[in-house]
Amino acid sequence: MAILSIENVDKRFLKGKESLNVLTNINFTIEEQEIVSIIGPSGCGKSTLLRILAGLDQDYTGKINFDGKPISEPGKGKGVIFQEHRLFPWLTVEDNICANLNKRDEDVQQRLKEVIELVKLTGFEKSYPKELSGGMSQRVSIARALMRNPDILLLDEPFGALDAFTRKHMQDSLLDIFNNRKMTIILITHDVEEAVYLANRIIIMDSRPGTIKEIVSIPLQYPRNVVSDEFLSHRNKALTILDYT
Amino acid sequence: MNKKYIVGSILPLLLIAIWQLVSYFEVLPVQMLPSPIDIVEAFVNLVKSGTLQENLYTSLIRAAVGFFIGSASGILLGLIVGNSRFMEFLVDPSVQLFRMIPHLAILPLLILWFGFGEPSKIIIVASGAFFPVYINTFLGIRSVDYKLIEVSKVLEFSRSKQITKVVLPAAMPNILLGIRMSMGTAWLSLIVAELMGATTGVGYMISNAREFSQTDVVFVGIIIFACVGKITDSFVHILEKRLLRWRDSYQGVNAK
Repeated sequence: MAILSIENVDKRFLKGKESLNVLTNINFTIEEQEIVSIIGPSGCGKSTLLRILAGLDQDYTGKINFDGKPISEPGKGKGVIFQEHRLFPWLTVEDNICANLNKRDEDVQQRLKEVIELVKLTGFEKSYPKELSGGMSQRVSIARALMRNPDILLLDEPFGALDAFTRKHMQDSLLDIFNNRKMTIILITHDVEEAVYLANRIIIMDSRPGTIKEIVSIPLQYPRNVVSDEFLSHRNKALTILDYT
Repeated sequence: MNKKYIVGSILPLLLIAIWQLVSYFEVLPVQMLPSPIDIVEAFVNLVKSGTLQENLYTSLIRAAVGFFIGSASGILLGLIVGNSRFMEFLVDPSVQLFRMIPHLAILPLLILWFGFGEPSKIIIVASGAFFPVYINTFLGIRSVDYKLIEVSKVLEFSRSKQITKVVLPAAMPNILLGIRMSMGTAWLSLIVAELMGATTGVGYMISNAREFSQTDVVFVGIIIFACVGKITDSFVHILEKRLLRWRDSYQGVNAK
């Protein structure tokens, strides 16, 4: 069953007197427990699209249905992970993860323990964000989103600022989390390899104005071998559509 | 830790040494510049007679009450104005207008209205303490990273929780800076008020001593102001360090 359907979504920015088309005629649906990656060159409006899905931007035309209802506000089953970790610097790791939840609640305590184990941050519960590395901070922000048991996880280039080793490690963590929690994931990225490594389907976008060029399925088993022939052929196909040479 | 205090006391000690030398060679007449030893003597006498304690107590109460009223209303108004565009347009221009009025200019008016009693002094101190806190709270709120506000929306914070759990802590560095600055202006306002018209307080002690040419007592008063000011500032600085432990910012070279 489709958890998310997007119909004829258009988005314009007003720049002085000019109106700029950011997204034009966006249509797709996302099934439950699917990992979908959205890739495209910078300026194609992929981050804007994610902000719309997150409920942070409601100035668009078209129809979006999430769980049978239009998106009216942020939160409400939609977890968001941004490119930067966006932790509250004045809170410890566990207080960040439990932000806006009652930490004394036994159920919250139990879930906190689980997510901390899941993102492998045991022992860092009382640390402040300034004491963490980039990868660890991003794992805290993932834990913070998971803590609320979201139906859908929206990730906006979450590993873009990390080094290659940490990124690879985080991608595997994300797959672990997916296997553990079985939720729907939408991942914005500009890294084709990342998209092919993680996603069931890839939505390839074009810029100015932002449109969907093609939607490609990646019917490969997890874990995927990045040097296998079929992986490389899917990667090359995506690259060709993106018009990289 | 110890090194820090030693480095901090180099300049004051050097100043006192030079001062003592200048007085010893009588470069200036004693009525103009008493030596540090004379000042210590005057201090001891003032303590013995109880004059100093009495005046200091009065001044401290005035400063504390005025500072509390001023800074609390500064934080409150700063929060209200910082969180609402409408309130900014409504209130801020008038606040800025009042801010530009020098204390000395309104003091005669306050004396006419309230006489020489406590209210006029407390109002002066409160108005001095108000503006730095107000401006810095406002500034602090407006410079809160919008990205964190977005996170609070994603995490479904209510509007009031957004203010108390996100905006307020994020603005805390500026609010504390405002409080530190306002303590300085509170002292300044207090001495202005006490010099102009009072029958008690350290400021009164100074102006009274001036009339009797007791330069050493004037110096005791000045030094008392400096020391009490420094102690209260250190107190807020310690508070700042505890509250802003989470901050990850440049501490200067060789900081540990």
